[in-house]
Amino acid sequence: MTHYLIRRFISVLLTLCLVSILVFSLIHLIPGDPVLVILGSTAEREQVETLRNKLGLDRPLLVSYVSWMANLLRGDMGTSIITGEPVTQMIVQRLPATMTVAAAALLLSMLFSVPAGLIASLRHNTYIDYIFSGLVILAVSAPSFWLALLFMLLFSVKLKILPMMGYVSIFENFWQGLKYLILPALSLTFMLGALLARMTRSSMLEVLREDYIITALAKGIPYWLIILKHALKNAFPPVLTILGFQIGYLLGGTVIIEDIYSIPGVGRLIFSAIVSRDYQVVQGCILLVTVIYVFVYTIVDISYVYFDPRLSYDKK
Amino acid sequence: MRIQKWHVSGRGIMKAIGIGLIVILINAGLLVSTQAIPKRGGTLRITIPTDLTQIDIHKINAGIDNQVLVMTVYETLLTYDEKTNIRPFLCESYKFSQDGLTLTLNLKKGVKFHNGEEMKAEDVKFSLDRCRDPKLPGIHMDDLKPIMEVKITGPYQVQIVLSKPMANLINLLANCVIRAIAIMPRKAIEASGNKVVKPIGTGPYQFASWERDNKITLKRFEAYSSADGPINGLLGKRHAYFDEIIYYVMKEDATRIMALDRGDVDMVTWVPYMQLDDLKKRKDLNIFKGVAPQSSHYLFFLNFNHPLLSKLEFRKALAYALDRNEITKVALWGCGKPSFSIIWPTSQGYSPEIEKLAPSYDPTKAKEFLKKSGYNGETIGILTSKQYSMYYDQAVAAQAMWNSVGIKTKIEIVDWATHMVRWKQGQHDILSFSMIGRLDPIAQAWVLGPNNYYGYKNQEVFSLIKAMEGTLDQEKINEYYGKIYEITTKDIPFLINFYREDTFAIKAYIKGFDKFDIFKTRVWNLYSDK
Repeated sequence: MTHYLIRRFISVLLTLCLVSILVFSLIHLIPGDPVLVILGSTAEREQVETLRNKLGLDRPLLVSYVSWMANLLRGDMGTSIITGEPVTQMIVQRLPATMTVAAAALLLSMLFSVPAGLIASLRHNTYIDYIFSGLVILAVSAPSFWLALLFMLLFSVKLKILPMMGYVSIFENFWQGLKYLILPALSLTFMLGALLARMTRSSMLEVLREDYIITALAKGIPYWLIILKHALKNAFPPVLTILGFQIGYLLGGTVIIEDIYSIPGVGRLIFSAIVSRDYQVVQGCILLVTVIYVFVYTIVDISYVYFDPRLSYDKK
Repeated sequence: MRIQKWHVSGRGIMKAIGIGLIVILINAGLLVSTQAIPKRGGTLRITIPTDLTQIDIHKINAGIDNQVLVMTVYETLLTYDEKTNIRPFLCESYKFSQDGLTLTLNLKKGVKFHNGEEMKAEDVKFSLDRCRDPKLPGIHMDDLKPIMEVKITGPYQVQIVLSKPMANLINLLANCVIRAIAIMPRKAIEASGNKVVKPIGTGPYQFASWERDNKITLKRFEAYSSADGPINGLLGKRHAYFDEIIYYVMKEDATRIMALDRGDVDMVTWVPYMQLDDLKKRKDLNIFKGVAPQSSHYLFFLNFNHPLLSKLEFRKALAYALDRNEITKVALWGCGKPSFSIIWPTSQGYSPEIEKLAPSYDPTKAKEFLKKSGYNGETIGILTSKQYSMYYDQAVAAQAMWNSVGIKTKIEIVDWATHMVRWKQGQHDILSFSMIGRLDPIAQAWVLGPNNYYGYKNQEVFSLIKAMEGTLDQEKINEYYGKIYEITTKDIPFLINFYREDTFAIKAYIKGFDKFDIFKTRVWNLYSDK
């Protein structure tokens, strides 16, 4: 396992290096000038040049890249061109909101999707299975922003039982924070849950056909124990893969949900940074998202060993 | 004949006098008042469509920053009365020297900053120097170039020394909608390394907190002392009835209206035009809309480096093909003032009569001019963005109108940052754009000046702009401005379509809002009678 982790760490570093070059060059190559975004339509030429010089935007790209990487190795992601704030601080301020919404959405989706997929697999080709398939298609088809507005209209405006928008940290006020989390999490759950449920069902269907399941049944092991301990556990790795992807996707920030519910998260930050060509923020955020994806997939890969003892990362 | 004698007692006489007095007083309106007495307290909750970009007003240009922070937290040396005349505000008086090269400002005494310090000449000098400091870079580093020096000539007096007469200096000092010259405390800013860590001004509300992408909170400044007297536009006593004001950032139109329905907010700015008619029917809301002096005007810039667009006949063909009334309906659901005029509609120099000088919708004339221009069916590009829906909508409407007279066009949609760059670099044929309105003819005419980006060169217009800059006589300025407008109707450097109306939806229990507040909302005069 140690060798595996070292190899994995080296590949992570290489990935991050590659991503840094890609994101730096792409964001600088697309048309648009952050100085004009800052100064607006009435800025004079001299003002534009002065600010460009002050922000270091007139330096050659290679010099800018090397300078940025050198600062990054010291833990400094640079300063926002638009607001002048340290990028690290901006991300750190917003990450808790995104993480909380992501965690709530994932927990809620797993709560419904895994049992639903499990039941559908056990009732394969029955009405329960058909209803399940129909609901999954419906859930995957409904755009999350449309659901968000519908939920807002129903629960906040008509029934007035949940707040409409905003964010309160659950660490500051748990119950208040929970109220603000419900609608954003619910809006995301449908799509996430549909994919998880579908994967659970198909994975379970494969495992249930395996010989060791038939052997376990023949040995008289209780049915629920076979399903939960033998079948579900072995069916879980593909579900885990999808889960890992969804964690990375959510932690990158879902812009539309954050916009609709006015959640000060990473998604909104990335979107507004791209629109205003705030290079430093875009670079910092993309790198952060890469680190999250890489970390999550490493955890997922390692956890496969728990679910399938036949797998091992030790050298033989 | 018996004469009936009436016996009247003393008590009866007193009763009669009392009743008489009551009747007189009621008629005089002294006893029974129909006007609610404003009560202090509560929170005013307003929506804004985007978050603040920065809190350092000297460095930035965003309208939203000025909307939230100027005249609430920060204040300016001069300001506007009800008729948008410029009057002293943080100063008691101002005076230009005979030669127009020195402006003396006598400051008000006893004006307090939020940190308790008194505003003095050194703070005013500091603010004027800072906002034009190229190292900052200050937002006025270019247009305040004629300022050679700001001198402190007394504890409450400064003198601005100019290299040449500057007609729009007082306009710049009075600006409150955009690019305000906010007065900041020197010591506090210098102590934090010339950075604004927390906005400190002299306004009736002080900055409390900014939760990014969520809300900005202002709290009443109890020791407010800048202004007194009857309310007259932005002049007069600033009551600050509400304890605090919260600006909620809500980008989505639907969310803003739902928040209003739910009672989470009291005032919505930027009400979506398509919902105005429905909202007007509601008894719990008051809807206000109108063209404010600073309202944006939407137009098409024509690239004078283009072989066809540089021809006057072709530009006339484009102009006569456009029905500005229809374009306004398409882009704004009719919530705008169709206009060709560079003179903004609420200006003293404007009258509906001047629109008659401009090309009006006449497809027959458009076809005639098109023929004279030698047009051979070339496709002209229209560059637009969906950053503001009006850009795209006016482009689509115009495309259809131009197509109907035989002019082929192709719409190219780019993102906002690219749109700005291509505008600045003149990389377009026709550009769908807007310009923020100014209460200053010189700034308004900037788009026709020698520094324009679309290649327009008219020496007569340049001379008129220069003449406007060189005089302090407002009548002469208006005269030159009128002449510039006349030239634009003949030369057609661009095609202005409409001035956008600003829209507000306010809960009926919020009182104090009137037409002037469409220009600059005086949140300090609003109160709740809930």
